[in-house]
Amino acid sequence: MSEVEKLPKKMIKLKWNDKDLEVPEGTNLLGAALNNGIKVAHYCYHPGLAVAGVCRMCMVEQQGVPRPFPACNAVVAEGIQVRNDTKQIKDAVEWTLQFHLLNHPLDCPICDQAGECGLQDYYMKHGQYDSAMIDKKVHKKKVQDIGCDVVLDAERCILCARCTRFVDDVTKTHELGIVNRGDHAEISVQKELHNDYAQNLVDICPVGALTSKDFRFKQRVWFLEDVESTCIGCETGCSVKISQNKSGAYRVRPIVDSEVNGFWMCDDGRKIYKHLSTPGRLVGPMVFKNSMFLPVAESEIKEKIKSKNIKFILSAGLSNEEYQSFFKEFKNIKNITLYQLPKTGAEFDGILKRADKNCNLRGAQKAFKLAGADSSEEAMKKMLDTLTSQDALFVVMPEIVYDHDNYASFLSKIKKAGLRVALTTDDMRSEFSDFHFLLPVPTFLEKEGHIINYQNKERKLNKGRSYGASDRNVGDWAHLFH
Amino acid sequence: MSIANKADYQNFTLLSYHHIPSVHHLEIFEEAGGYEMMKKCFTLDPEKIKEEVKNSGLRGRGGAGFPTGVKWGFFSKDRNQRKYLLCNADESEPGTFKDRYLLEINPHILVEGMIISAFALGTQRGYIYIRGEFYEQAMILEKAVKDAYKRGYLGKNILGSGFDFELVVHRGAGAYICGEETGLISSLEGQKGRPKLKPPFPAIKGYRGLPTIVNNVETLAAVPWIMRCGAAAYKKWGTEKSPGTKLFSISGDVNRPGVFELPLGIPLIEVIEKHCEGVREGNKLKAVIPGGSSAPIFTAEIAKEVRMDYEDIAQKGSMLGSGAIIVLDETRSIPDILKWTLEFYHHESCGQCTPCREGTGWMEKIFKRAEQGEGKLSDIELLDKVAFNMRGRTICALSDAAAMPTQGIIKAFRGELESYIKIQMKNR
Amino acid sequence: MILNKELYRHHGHLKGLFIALRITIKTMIMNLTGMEKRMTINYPEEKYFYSDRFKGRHVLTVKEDGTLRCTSCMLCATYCPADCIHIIASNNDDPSVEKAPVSFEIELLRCVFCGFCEEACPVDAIRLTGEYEMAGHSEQEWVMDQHYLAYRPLLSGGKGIVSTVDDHNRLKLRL
Repeated sequence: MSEVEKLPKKMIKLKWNDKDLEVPEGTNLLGAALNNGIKVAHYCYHPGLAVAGVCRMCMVEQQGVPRPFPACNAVVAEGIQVRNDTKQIKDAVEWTLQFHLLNHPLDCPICDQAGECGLQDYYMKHGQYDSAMIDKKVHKKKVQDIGCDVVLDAERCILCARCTRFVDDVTKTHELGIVNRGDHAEISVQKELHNDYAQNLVDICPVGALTSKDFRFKQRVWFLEDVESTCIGCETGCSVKISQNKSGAYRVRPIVDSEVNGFWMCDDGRKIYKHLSTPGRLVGPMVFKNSMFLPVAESEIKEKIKSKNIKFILSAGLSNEEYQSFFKEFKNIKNITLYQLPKTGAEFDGILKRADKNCNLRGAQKAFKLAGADSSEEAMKKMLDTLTSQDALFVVMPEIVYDHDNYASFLSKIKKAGLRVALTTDDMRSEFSDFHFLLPVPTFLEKEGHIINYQNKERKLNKGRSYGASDRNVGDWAHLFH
Repeated sequence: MSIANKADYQNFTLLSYHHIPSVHHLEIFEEAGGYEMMKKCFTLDPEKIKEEVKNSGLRGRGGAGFPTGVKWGFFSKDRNQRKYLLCNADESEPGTFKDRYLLEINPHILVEGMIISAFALGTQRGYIYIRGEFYEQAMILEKAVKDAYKRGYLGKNILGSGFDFELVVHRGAGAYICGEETGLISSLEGQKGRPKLKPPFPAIKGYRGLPTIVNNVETLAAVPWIMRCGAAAYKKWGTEKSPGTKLFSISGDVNRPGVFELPLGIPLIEVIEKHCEGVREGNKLKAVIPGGSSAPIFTAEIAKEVRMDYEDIAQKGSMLGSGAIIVLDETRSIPDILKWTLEFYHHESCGQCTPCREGTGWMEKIFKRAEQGEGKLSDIELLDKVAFNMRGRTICALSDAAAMPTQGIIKAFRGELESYIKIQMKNR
Repeated sequence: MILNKELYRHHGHLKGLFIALRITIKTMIMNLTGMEKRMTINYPEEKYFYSDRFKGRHVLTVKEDGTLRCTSCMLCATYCPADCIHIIASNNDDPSVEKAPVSFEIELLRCVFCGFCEEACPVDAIRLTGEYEMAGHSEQEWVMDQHYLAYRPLLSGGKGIVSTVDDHNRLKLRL
């Protein structure tokens, strides 16, 4: 936060319909209403983008101003009285919506946006139920793959220009533009999308013109429920919501959070749901036998590790609470180190993405320090170098891996240990075949907890639906050693 | 183009040099007294020039009729700030050809007007945005600007006055919407020619985010004369609220169409009967479009009463616009006029604001359907409703420009539209 | 147990019996002689045909080219009170279709034949027919997949029921 924003701003009083509002000076008029819970129909206005004023839905009347004007292009002023519930404005909104829907293909049955579509929502509220339009509609290109897993349907587009403003203002990659004039105008892609934030286009599109290829046709949105949590993709720790239902998790979208991520999140973060509901999730301890994983009794593991020298490698992606309970339960084990994911990409890409992919490195370091353990990479290397066949090595696997070469070399180094046990959130993949046993631990969406992001800010992890064995976190496996 | 006798022109302002042969050459223009006023103006206080223009009551000749002096008054007075003066020569309103006639014969009057205006406003850079189709006119203008540079009337430190003014002629690419001042600015900036949201107005934040004044060719060309003869002399013509003279481009069914410089407030019937020598072939007058295609149509009865000034036309339900008078005689079909208007605005809508983007196309479709004999009488009502709901809901006035003539035609010639729909249904 | 002891006491046992059987015998004679239409039929030799409004086994209608009409919008699955419709949607390569089901299953054992699916369908892709003969052994036999729903031999010899309902009106604007 900059210095300016910290200063208390002068508050301005205004009246919207019959409601008194008090907002900071310089607030957008429409933004002021929306922030105060007043529902105003709008398409093109987005608080994170420049004002376009093209959808003409947010028209208001102001006392002393001769003509109605769009609220999104006005700034609050002391004592103004604004109304949008007069007959004139209501007619205007009704007709503007009619104009919006004029050439809309109405393919809601096959449109992924159905259920959270601005056109549907406002139609229920402001629609003219008997359309006067009986002429042929204008047709544009449908189902265009424009790169970055975004699908464009120009026919559904209402030309609010949110997407073009996003690629111009936020990512500054300028891939999208509007070509042609009049009702033949359509969004067009000059070159394929090539930015790390392209999926935000799907979020900001108020209609079904831009849809995500990843989510396409997988679920109808009304079957999904959102769980608010924090992205574990990198140290930024964006606020996100994960859409899930009983059959699985389907997508990740950002939550507006002015302190961390603003309105956006990166495309890498959108993939953090993928391992949550894979069909092969562990439901109990597994043993690798005859080149396959089979369920095993805990007593067998207990038996095997009895005479061994216990060593632990933790991942830097657990919650603070998990570290705490781990160090509480494993007080007498001295050999504990931390596996940190290597940095990938640029240190900071200028928007949100950071190179440090360990979502809770700060929390881990704090917990290690409190427990007197060494969290440095050297300590881990030293431990890997000194592994013997007398060791039983327990590795808490990272939930998400970016640098697969580094990961593979890490896995190859642990082979020296006599007994290898992985504590993982994942399914039974071939890369775990080097381990003798697998123990399930909960994913980030299956536990309550906190992580500490790059700003040293505590971020909350919330518990959603569970698709695997989520009842035991890392510390709860301590009973194996008693 | 009209060829009137010299005497008609000499007393007037804008066309006062037009009788001189080859006046587009700088030498000949100067011989006739051109650029003299510019030289004199450099010795004056810029505020005084502004004051004089304000006193003259000169109103923007592009169509809206906003008083030029008032517009200039909004402009930043800081002479060191980077500011722009743009000349709107993107004359694309159907029926209008006055700027073209002005520039073709006498480009220097605009250059002189721009230099004086720029000096008054303190702008260091000016652009003349000329319509793409005006290729020859652009060449003539470019030569005039080049000559003025050579003579030292443009460039750095003009005639030792310490005032810098660079003037560039920029050709558009043929979009009607670029004649709208913010659309023109967008186009000049290299973007798609789409009008910008107002406020902020260009006088505060225009070309490249800097204060910009956009004036019509005719407005700027009137400035030297006002400076030479004084505001009072200019006010001698016209009415109290619409002083001065105006170029009227008269086309359609008259015996002598062309550009005429006439004082504002002149009765329309006098323009048609006296200056245009009557309706062609002695036909009966049916209707008149008084201000370009975007002005609502007048029936013959109203046309006989109306006077050509901003107030009287507005009061009778139309607008003076760019002063393009289109005369229609009894042989003309009003539905054809409507079709042509709707086609034009559908083609030229920039597609930014929804009511205009969808409405212009919809209106055309409704009418085309009626033309194919699939119309209903209720379609007239629908057209009227669509047009009504397009008005005043968009960034620029193109939506109004499409809606107003539609509503005007429906109001004035509903009977003819109804019989047209019925006939088309029968002939299907 | 004799319910109406008085009757038998009054008429004697045999007469009482015939009085009690009067309706049965009357109906038997009427039916045997064809004097009255029988209420029953010789099922399964004879079959009863319900009206089209009967809500029996479901059918998925097909387009004129024989492909499923269903666009897998999931509205039927949404409204189904018994939660017995399971659809998996996928991309269709034909851009005019875009979305089509790869799997459409109805669990008949759960279905309550309410007909909500039929009403919810925006494209007339699902109908409840007059078919009422349903029998099966294992639970698996009660799950109908899209192939059975659309192309079972009973439906025009496996060609399916073609529906063009609303096509004209719906597609008119698109042409």
